[in-house]
Amino acid sequence: MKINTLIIEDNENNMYLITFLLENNNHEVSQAYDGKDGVALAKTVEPDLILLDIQLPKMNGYEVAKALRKDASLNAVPIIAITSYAMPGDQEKALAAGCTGYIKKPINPDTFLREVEGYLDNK
Amino acid sequence: MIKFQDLSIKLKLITIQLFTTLFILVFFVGIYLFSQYHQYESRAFTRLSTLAEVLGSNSISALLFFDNDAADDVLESLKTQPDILNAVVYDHNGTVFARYNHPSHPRFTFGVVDVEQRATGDDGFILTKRIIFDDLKVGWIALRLDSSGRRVELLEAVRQSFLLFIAGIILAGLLSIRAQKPISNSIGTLAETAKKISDSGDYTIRVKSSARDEIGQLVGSFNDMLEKILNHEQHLEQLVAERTVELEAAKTKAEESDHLKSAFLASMSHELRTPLNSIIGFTGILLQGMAGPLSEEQAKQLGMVKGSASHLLELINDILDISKIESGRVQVYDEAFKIDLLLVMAVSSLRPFAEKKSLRLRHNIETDLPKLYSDKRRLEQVLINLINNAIKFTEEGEIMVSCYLKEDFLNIDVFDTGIGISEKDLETVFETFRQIDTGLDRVKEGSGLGLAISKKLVELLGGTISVVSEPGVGSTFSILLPIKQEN
Repeated sequence: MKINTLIIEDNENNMYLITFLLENNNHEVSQAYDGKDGVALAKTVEPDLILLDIQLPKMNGYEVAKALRKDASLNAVPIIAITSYAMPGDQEKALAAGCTGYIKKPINPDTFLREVEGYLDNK
Repeated sequence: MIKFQDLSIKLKLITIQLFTTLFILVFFVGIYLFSQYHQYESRAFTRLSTLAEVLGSNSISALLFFDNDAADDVLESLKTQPDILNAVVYDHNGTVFARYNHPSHPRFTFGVVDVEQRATGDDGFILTKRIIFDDLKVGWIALRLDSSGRRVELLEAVRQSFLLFIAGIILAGLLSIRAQKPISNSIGTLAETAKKISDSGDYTIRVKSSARDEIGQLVGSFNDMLEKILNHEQHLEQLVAERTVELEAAKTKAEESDHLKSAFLASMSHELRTPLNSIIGFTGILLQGMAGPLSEEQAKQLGMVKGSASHLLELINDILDISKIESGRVQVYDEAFKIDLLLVMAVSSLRPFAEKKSLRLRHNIETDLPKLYSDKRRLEQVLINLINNAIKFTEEGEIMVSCYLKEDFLNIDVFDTGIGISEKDLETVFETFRQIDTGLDRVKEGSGLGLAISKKLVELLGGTISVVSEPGVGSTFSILLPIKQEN
């Protein structure tokens, strides 16, 4: 059975990259290109896993995480923040906003899947 | 004892006037008393001389006729002169001819009579005079006058002088108290005002004086100076206000530019990373063969792209790190963690790179180390940087990471058997944008910022970093961290 994953990411290349990696590894991917769409889509598809970029248009990643955690049907879904290395405190803020964990940008294809699956196992 | 110079002007003026008066009074009273003393004596002898003249001439006939009784009668007239104590008439041979003694004063011996003389002594005033008749020396007369009146008179003069003296001093005192007022008052007012201004710092106060003397001039100059100080102060205040405005503007500008810099850093980091994300990600996918098989040459070239991209990412990270540290934007998040675990994980994550160069990467960690309270991620960054450097600059041998307690400090050593650092380079190895000359043909990849970042991070954690090295033998980088307690 495929893992139902929602990716919320505004950069097309990154979206393609993450989607490619996951679809090649037994994930079924839903895509949202901004925060608002992401929250809306999460409610309809009820994913098994959410990958969440922090710098997003309309609603940033922290706000998205908070909104998702308020939803009863979504508050147990693992949310993995894709955080930027440059901003100190991003990771702490992401965890405070309700994320389960974080993966640092840039994404390393050699380790990315292992990290993602690590969070799924913990569930 | 109070010194004259410590007295107030008022007392000084009064003292000067009193002493002047005192001196003048003493001088004139002295002269007066002296002259009184001497006048008394000359008056006494004038009187004695007149008496001797009269009594002498009245005794001439008695002497000529050897009539002692007649001479006695003549002398008896002295009863009307109570202060004449003794009187004697002698014949021309100096033999006593007639004698008179005041009832209270018994006989008095005048001594040998052979010359006219005046004598002043304890006995009184004594006068001896010839009695002459028609150029004929017929006898002598000697008189003694009581001199005790002289002392009484002198004492009386002293008493009167003393009263006058006291009166004079009191009068002088009263006059001087009155007379010094215009001077001491104006100086006093000036001094008081000066103190008030000095205490309060209020330079708008002015001293009032209508005098045209030196004090008036002084007050005028004083007021002028106050005016100048006031102007100067106002000018200064204005200057300070102007400068403050300028400084505030500059500060605002600096804060704005700081904010812009910070925003620029954040946006640059994002902008630079986004394309790198794609480059690294897709080369990775291609290299894994997920998008189809690659020829050997393609795989080799793609590997180079991936290596360069990773290097570029490292450079960007280093530059962003050093900018953040230098602008004070790095915050330390202290937490309690197990240092041995952190070290083991850092060593394990880098072991593949060491093994690629056939280097041994080992660790030697003291058991029972206390939990460290520090910023775990920053410390990890420093450790990875040091171990990476050791791997990078070591061609054969081993790298050893050891950790042990040294008094109240935790000591972490990263030891290698690498190329080492020359003495000259040791001084600058922790400076920004320094990459030492490795002496090797191949330039080692790196920004030259790694050690500068490490040093600054260790200092942020309250520790120190140092290095000992010998070219061709190896280097040991040591971190010394204080064991802090969690509050």
